[in-house]
Amino acid sequence: MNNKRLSLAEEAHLLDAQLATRRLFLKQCSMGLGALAFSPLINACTSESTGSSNTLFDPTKPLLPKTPHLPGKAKSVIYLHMAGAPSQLELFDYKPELKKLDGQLCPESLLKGKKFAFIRGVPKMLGTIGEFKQRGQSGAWVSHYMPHLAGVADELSFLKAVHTDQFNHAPAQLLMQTGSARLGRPSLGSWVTYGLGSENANLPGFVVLTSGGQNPDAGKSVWGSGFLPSVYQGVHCRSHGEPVLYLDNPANVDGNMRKASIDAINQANKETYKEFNDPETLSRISQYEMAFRMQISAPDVMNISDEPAYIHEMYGTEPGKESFANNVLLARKLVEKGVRFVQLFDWGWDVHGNSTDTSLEIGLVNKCKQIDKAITALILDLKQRGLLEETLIVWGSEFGRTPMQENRNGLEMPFKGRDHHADAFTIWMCGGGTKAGTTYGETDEIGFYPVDGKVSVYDVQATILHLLGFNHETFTYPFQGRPFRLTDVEGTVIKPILS
Amino acid sequence: MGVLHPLVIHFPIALLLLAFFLEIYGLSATGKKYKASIPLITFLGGIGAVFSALSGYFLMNQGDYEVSSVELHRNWGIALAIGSALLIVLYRFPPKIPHIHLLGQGALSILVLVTGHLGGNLTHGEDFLSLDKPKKEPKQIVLNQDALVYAEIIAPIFEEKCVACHGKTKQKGKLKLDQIENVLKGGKNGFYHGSEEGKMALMSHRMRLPLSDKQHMPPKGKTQLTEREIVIIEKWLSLGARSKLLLKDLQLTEEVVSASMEEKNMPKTADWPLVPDLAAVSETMLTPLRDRGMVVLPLASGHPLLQINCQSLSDFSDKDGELFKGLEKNIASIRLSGTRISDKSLKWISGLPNLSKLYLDNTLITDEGIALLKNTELRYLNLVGTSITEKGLRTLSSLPLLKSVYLYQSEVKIEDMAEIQQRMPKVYFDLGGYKIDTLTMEVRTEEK
Repeated sequence: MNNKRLSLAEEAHLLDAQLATRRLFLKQCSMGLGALAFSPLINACTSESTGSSNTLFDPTKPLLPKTPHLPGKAKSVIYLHMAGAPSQLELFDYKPELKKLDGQLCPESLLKGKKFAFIRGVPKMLGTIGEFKQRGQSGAWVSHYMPHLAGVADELSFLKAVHTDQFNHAPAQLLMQTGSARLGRPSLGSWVTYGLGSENANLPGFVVLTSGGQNPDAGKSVWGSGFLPSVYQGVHCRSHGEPVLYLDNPANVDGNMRKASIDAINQANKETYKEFNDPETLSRISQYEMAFRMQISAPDVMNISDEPAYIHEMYGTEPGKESFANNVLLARKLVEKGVRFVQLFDWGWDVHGNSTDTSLEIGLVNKCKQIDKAITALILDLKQRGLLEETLIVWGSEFGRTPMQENRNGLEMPFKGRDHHADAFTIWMCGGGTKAGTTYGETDEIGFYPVDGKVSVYDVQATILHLLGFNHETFTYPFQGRPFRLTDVEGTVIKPILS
Repeated sequence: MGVLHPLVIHFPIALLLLAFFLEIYGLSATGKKYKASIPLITFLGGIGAVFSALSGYFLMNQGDYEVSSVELHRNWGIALAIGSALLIVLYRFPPKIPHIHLLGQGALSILVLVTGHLGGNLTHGEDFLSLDKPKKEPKQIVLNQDALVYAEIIAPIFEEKCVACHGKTKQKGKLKLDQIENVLKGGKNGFYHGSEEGKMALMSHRMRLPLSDKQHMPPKGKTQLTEREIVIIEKWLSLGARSKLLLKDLQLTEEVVSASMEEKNMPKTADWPLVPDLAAVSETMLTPLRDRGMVVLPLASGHPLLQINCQSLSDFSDKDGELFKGLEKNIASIRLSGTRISDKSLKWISGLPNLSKLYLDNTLITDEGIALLKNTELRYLNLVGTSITEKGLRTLSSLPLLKSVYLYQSEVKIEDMAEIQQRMPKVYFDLGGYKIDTLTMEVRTEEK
């Protein structure tokens, strides 16, 4: 993979080209006498000297399929992000000791120097409500909240001791998806489509599907392209109605007319490119062309109602409704067609216990119902199609929940709920070169801190990149004079979960 | 005092050479005016030379160097110090011999150059100036389980990364790693580290210290050992560092052994055939395939094996097999899902010697076609949505490397699978058709 540094001069040129208005101004100035002397300088800067541009980015074919550093096991990723953070202590991290401590005051030693989002004063410990059993050959712990997923526990690789350093949703989601708690970095899906392109020229390489009624707290930046060319940002498809707005031809416009108008727009864009040399203009042209091809391909792929009844039965889908299950089925269809990265966000997992919907007893049960069967179906469906070997499924969230019951404002809550917890939570992966039926990492008796196999958000990202064939340390993009990576200066591949 | 040697020596080198230069320059009319400064420069350079010789003497006695190899440098250095002192005297009391200062400076410069070069050889290695240095290829550890660990694996690692400082010419910390006996002797702190119960080789301890630790070896800034090298050396030391140990005695995990595969850009496990001698195909040979609409990519950058995806080509048919002429050896994976190929295509497909993954899902192939695959090295075979029956499956039993076969929506019946699985116990067959019974969760309504 060619990843030499883009020189500062080249980068400056790219940025400069984006500032078309200033360029125009200078050009007009060059009529003046002073600018006469200046204009050769300007021309020297804008001459077409960027032919040797040495990133992976080819503005005319930004999504051309590319080869990673190593033969990757996974060819595509389906990332299931449960926005809001489900409780690992109810679903996967079984803590019988915690149950015994239920209702007791939390010892001071645990609270010393800790910051919580909502817990104030001394909270009470909250025993797990999940009824846990060891499942399958692997003996992985899965609770009664996920009865279907429990049946395929042998396919999963659990990371039980993931930690992050953010305890609020938006920064934690950004850290998980972009490697930085602050805005401006490209998302995981953007990095992957930048590095691998897409095997299907008629569909976007990075598709985002949301459910649960709201977008994640961090907004669209969690699938943004940051400093990567904008063509690599996630394409957010609507989960109900037209998947992509304005993809259909307007009334009284037929395909030929549409084609003619796109040709005319592209012609104008080509003229603009000749004048200003901004590669983003070329990306724009290719985007128009792809949009035109998507008019034919997208409605077909995006329409899940063509699937046979037993598939709908399996996923628990209801076409036409906005639901996580529909998105999961759509994700399978997209991956089957060669889409590189499908990111699902499901909102509504923030189980604080301040209302029915956020209670561990009712809200969490309902949320689990929405995903449990669908995810199980996704795993089995990919498996029977021979695609699970090369499709990586990641399930996780931005952080976990505390072993203490939340006492917002120091008051007792109407329902059982837990506060945000950054020190230990569970993520699982499946397929795509992970070792099926493994559990890596362990938390202490109450699930507060990792005691073994502690992994960071960067480690998870490094592992995902590794499975796709990237060396996360050399997979970089030049920006502001230095190469940037997703994992910044951190991250170790979690080898125990690799097959 | 000894540590100052590498610093101090630069003064005599620069100053004495400058004095010689000024002496020559002084022969011309324009250079005359600098002549007055030459005695001072020579004086300063001379002091530098004396200090260099002194500090060098201390450094030598610290014992990091073999006396025999330093001797020559030492003698020249002493000569230089004495020579410069003499020259200072000659400036003080100039004798009536024409150009005596010029000659003296010339002789001294020769001394400076020779001494400097010999010193350089000591620090940077004998060959540091030779231009046609053989370029060091990164050493690959041969994964032969019967290899002698020390002679074939560890000695080359030491040679490459350690002996420059711990070898014949230089023995930092009195440690020599050029021969196994010397390795076992250890340095000035001995071979072992730590108390009796936590005893381990000092070397293992040093290698594992964080890079920022001063005692970490190799030192920061020098070529570091790879994780795998550390693991092998550690294991070998812990087993007594005997010369007769074989690689298999170390009982390394597969992970460590396969790490070298990763370095070679080869797949970790046997997903793909090993093709060390196969050359990559030129891009121009792939153009016709790409023009046809196929996605053609090497497995990894620089890898000779190719994966080819024809999935999106609904008009791809048997006659397109022509396009792959000349690429036979390089094709490792081919995806023909949903194309219009029939059994005829399996003729050219079965002639691909390195084919490991084959997707024939939703095509018109039959049992007859599948039978042609019997001499291939397939690992993955996708037959989803085809009219394959158990008859076709039986013909696959001769495939030595087959790992998984996908048969969802094919004509294979579940009742035949027991027997087929028995014939091919190592192969994973997936008939699909999973059903998920809707289970319920009890919603607890008890409230506080």
